[in-house]
Amino acid sequence: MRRRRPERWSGPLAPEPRPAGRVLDARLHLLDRQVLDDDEVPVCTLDDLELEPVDDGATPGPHAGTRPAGAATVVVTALLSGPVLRTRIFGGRPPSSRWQSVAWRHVRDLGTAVRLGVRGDDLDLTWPERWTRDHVVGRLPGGRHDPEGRS
Amino acid sequence: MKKLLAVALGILTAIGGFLDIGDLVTNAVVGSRFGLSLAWVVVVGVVGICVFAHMSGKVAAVSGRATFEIIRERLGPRAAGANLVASLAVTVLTLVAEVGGIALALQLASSVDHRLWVPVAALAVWLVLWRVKFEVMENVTGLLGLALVGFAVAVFLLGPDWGALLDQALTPQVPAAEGQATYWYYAIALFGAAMTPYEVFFFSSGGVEERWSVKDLATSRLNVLVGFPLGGLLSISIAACAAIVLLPGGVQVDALSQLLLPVAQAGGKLLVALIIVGIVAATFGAALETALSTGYTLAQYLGWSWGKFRRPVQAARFHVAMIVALVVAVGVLMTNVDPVAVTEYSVVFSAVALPLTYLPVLVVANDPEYMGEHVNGRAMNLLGTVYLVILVVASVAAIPLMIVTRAGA
Amino acid sequence: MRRHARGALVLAAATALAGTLAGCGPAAHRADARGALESVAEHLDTASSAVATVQLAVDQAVAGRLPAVSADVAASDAAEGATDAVHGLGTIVVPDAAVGGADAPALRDQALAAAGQAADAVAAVRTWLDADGPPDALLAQLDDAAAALDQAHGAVADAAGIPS
Repeated sequence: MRRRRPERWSGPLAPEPRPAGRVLDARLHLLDRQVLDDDEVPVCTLDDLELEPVDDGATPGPHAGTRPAGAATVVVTALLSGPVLRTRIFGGRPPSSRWQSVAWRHVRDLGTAVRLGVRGDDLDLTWPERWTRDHVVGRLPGGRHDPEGRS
Repeated sequence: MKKLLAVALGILTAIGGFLDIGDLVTNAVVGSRFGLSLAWVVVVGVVGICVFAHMSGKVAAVSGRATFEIIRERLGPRAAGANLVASLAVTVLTLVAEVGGIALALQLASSVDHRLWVPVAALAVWLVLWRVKFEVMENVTGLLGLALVGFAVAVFLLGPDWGALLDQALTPQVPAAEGQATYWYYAIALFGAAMTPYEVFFFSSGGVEERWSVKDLATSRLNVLVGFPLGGLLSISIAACAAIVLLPGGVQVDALSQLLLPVAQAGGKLLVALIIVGIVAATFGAALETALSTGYTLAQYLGWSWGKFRRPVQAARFHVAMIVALVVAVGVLMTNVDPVAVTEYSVVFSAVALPLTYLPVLVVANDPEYMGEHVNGRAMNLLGTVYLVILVVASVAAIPLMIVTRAGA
Repeated sequence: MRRHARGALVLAAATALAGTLAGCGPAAHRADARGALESVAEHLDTASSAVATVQLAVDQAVAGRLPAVSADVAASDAAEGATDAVHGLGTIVVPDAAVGGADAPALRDQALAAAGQAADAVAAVRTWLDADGPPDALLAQLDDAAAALDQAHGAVADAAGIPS
């Protein structure tokens, strides 16, 4: 049972030479992870990534020689989430207006959770939380009371 | 000295918090029909809850992530979603039973109909969720729940034939008046009552609420390993009370008020009052835990901000989810269902849902990405796997047995 | 693949629905005489349990060990159980047949009479708790009800061949 897993930056099929930095499997290491903001407050779970092709003719990447013909280099430009659970469970493709994104440059750290360097309240994505706060919970007496007694 | 006090407090609250309406009702029913011949199930259940509470606490302490976040991350939205629906259904059913239990216990002290107490009880639960600090909530309900030690006291005061009781417990036999299927149906119910699935969500999320770190692991293990077996002993003493007084009298327990008869016979009004306080505290504590668990599972699956340590406005949807769960519970109880009957169903459906919640915990406790050097050892995995087999067998057998025995009639 | 999943889901839902209907619907009343008598015996057990509960409660209330409020709750819970038994017995359909040398409808009627007597006796407990007189008459009434239930249960058990 106590099989040692290969270290994550050298997958069992990783070809030589090893690329610099960490190799993450987007499905295994990113999808459905919690996204936390600067104060460790959950923002969303990661539902998808926005990828954009880049013109990499000038700078061959580490896998340039091994890459199948026709494959383009892409970079992750944003984390995507939003009210897309239905299509994620039952399949299909949500209208693109459903997706809400957080720019990749806000990502500070990738671990057992994706940590952002910004406050969740400043992101468009968290509007349902803010709406509930402003229209329901904030209006109930004591909604802003701190149970831990900090002022 | 301070540390010793903290450890003692932890153990005491673990004992007091162990029992909920499911344990109270199921043990009394089983005791009044089968004597102590099912006491072995409580032992099996207590070892099981120790194993899994320890594992989920460890996952929370080491990784800082609560169970349902990890379930979604590892199983994906589809399988985790199915798991969420099942777990949430059982947890809300348990919440209904607990709120009904508070109302029944208050009725015992006031003789005001329990249906009138239901909204009051739910409101009180919500106010505590809304305002009170997590540790205070846990410690107060746990310590007051210790009043249920009165059941153990009652067993001694009743002065039973210890040899006969021990004989019933150690060489279990199906009583002549009961069928084999009914015996096993109640075995599963008792197992489900001891190992209710919401506890796993509660332990892991509670660990995050109390900001456990690896340093706290030893304390948490001690609380679990000492507190729960003693709580299990209280479970057995409830069954023993029923077996000593109610079984020979031909009383089959179908109401909470019958639990008081052996206690009254043993210790009079004072002990009865103590037990009523204990029942209120135990059901109230469990209602808080199940309400929180509905919020935890939903928020963790959907990536909402959650936690009692935050101001309600900073976990707005989490608090709304708990309010909705409480409203649902009140609505169900207002249809005039018998809370004791709800409890009897909830423990069996708990047994059905158990593998769903425990398998992911076992898997994650072996995942080095989350656990680092704290992955399960060989012995822990062996025990965890044995229990997984027991859970699956109980889960598969529960519904057919329910149909065959017409829910234990 | 997805079509199979959908088919399985529909099948499962249909099975669940059929099971619920079979379990809760009119078919739940057992058609055969022996089965009906087993149900009669179960309702008699419920009534006996209610009587035994209030016997204990009255004993302890007299001894001053059980608070009056709790005794009242125990009595009202037991009254509910006993009335449920009466209603249950009233709705069982007993085929007009002889079972084990006894007339099934006559057995049901005996059971119904005994359960009715028990329900009255249990209800009397609540009145007694309010009035707080001597318990002797009440205890005698409860003993009679318990004896009638035992007798009815014995007759039913003999006829249906249930261990009593």
